[in-house]
Amino acid sequence: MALTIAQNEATAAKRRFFFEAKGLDGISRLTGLTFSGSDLQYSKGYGTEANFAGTVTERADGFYIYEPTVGEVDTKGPIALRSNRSDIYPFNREHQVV
Amino acid sequence: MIYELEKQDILVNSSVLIDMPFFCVGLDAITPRPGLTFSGSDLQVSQDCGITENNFSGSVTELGDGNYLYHLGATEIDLGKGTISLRTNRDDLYPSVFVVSLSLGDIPDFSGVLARPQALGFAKMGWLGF
Repeated sequence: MALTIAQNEATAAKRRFFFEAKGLDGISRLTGLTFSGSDLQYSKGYGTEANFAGTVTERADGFYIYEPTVGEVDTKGPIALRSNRSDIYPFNREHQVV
Repeated sequence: MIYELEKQDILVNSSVLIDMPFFCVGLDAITPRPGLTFSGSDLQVSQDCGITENNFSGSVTELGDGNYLYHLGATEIDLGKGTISLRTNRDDLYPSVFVVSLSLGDIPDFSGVLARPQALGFAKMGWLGF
């Protein structure tokens, strides 16, 4: 089930969501990663993906927190964050902007 | 594993506890782990979607088959309509995060009538993992 984020949400804490980095075995946890460039692909409304513009914070045990920019939540509808790294088990995190 | 619940109606009265269902599996990410007790830093709770975590201050009730119910303490309820996360932090458990996006203040104060039965309903429904 997706979390909902208000359109143009100004409070950063209310825009955040978790993602996790697992190894290619789908079990092991990847810690200490940094993300840049095309590592994460972000899309709105199932549209064309673009490099992420938000901020990634590592939590622990392979958990990371993505904080999209206000511009990344300016459109109502689904948003998605997809890993584009070859060392991470593929994921696609989807939420809703309402 | 990350499990998210879009919204959990909680009471306006911040002194009333809120319940978050969660479950625990072994390091194989499959085997349920019943019979656990939690203390200290075993559970990390955040009111801002994980950025600032603290050791849990609420209490845990075992439901069965590795399912548990966490009763958030009054000080762990985000009055800002934010997101509460609960992260397992034990070496014998596969790491998991459970997230509730709150809808605080959208319903009237029923003086404790709604909080626990609703949460148990969610527990019966189970979490939809990603």
